[in-house]
Amino acid sequence: MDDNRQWMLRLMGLALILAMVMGYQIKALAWHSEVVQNEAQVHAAEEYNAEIRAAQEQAAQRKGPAGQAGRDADAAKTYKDGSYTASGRGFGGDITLTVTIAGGRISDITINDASGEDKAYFDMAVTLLQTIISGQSADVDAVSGATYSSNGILTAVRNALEEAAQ
Amino acid sequence: MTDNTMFLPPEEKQNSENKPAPAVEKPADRKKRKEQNRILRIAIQVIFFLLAPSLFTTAFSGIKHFFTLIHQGEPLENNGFITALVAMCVFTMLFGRFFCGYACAFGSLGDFVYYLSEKLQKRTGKRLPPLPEKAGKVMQHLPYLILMIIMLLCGLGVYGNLTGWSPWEVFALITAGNFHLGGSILGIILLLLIMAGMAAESRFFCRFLCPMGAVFRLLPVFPWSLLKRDTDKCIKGCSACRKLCPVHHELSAGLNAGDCIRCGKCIDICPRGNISIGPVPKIHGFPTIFSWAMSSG
Repeated sequence: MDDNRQWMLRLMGLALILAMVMGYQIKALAWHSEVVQNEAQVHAAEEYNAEIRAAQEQAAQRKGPAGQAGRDADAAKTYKDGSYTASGRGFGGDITLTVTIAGGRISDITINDASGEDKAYFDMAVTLLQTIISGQSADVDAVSGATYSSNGILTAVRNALEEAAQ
Repeated sequence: MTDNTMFLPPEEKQNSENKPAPAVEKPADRKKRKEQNRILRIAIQVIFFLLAPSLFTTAFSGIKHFFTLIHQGEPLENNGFITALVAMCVFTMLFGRFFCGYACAFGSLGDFVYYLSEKLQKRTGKRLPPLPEKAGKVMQHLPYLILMIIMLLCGLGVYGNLTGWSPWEVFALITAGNFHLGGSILGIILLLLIMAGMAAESRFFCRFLCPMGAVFRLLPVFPWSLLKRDTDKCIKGCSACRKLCPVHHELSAGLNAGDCIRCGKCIDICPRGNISIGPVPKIHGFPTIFSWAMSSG
């Protein structure tokens, strides 16, 4: 009977597609673990560099105040401690969030209101918060596939940081 | 070897011919049942429209997301998109495309626009020319093309750069109460064109454009769950089910069973009650598979 025959053919097609997806997944996981390893190596190297830089700076300070200018310029970029609430337009309305600055750094970001957003999309966009905190900057790309929610979050964070910089 | 009835014992063959016709429902009862089912269908559509208007884009985002990940060489991860996609595909494989018939907000929009247009056509007495059946048959392949193009664009990593063209996105923004549509002029124009199509043809988008429907169409729907018509018992010359079918699905066994969106209108209209789900008629279980294997092998 045609119905059953077609069902079987399609089942086979689906099995083939799933097998291809599995094959891809195995390959991609291998790539991914390589990337993680590389990143760990880069991170270790960077830490080592930072240590050397710190040692050099200490040595320069002992010699004289020449290194001071560079450090002042760095300090100007930091933010004033406190909590700053701001919002940005997302998918179905405004997203409101609070950025907490502690020790001149972005220490925490909490979402206060995202009632207009679609959960699946917003959950993807929310991963940006971790990126912002670890990079200490809101100059990051929107999550592809969740552009509206991403832009809402980024605008809100930028607005909050603007307040914090004043 | 292609004749499947050979697997039936002869007495069963006879029985199926001599069986008295099932008690025929009174026309008034049928009308009442039809009206009840119509109201139920609309109620379900309205509930889904209000509570989950973006389900269809969420599931389709799963497909886009999947190909974007392939472009980036990243492993698949479990997120809301993939979950929605897998859940809807599994449901469709088990029970049929109820999602399309009842839960899809864009399909409901199509039904609503078509309903209004029918009312208007009746009132003014002017009817829109129907689309030739042949053109419809050709256009039914368009969803596959659209699906392939979108998969390709995502796989090449250029999809993210194309913004403001998607009529689905415009519709999703409007249903989410966001009217800042300045960047989506092309999307608005396409949405309006699609709505014009919806007014002219029932389920215009679902039949001729929907890339999510293209995925559902290709899925192996469990044969037991397919609607089947016992053509032997049909009134000669009656094609009520086919005329009423919003996706112009031919309800004979087999070809393009994936087209059916399970709205159930054919079940309600059939004067003989000939359409039902259940085992594929006359053939039970394994012999079918064997007979196919034997006939093709």
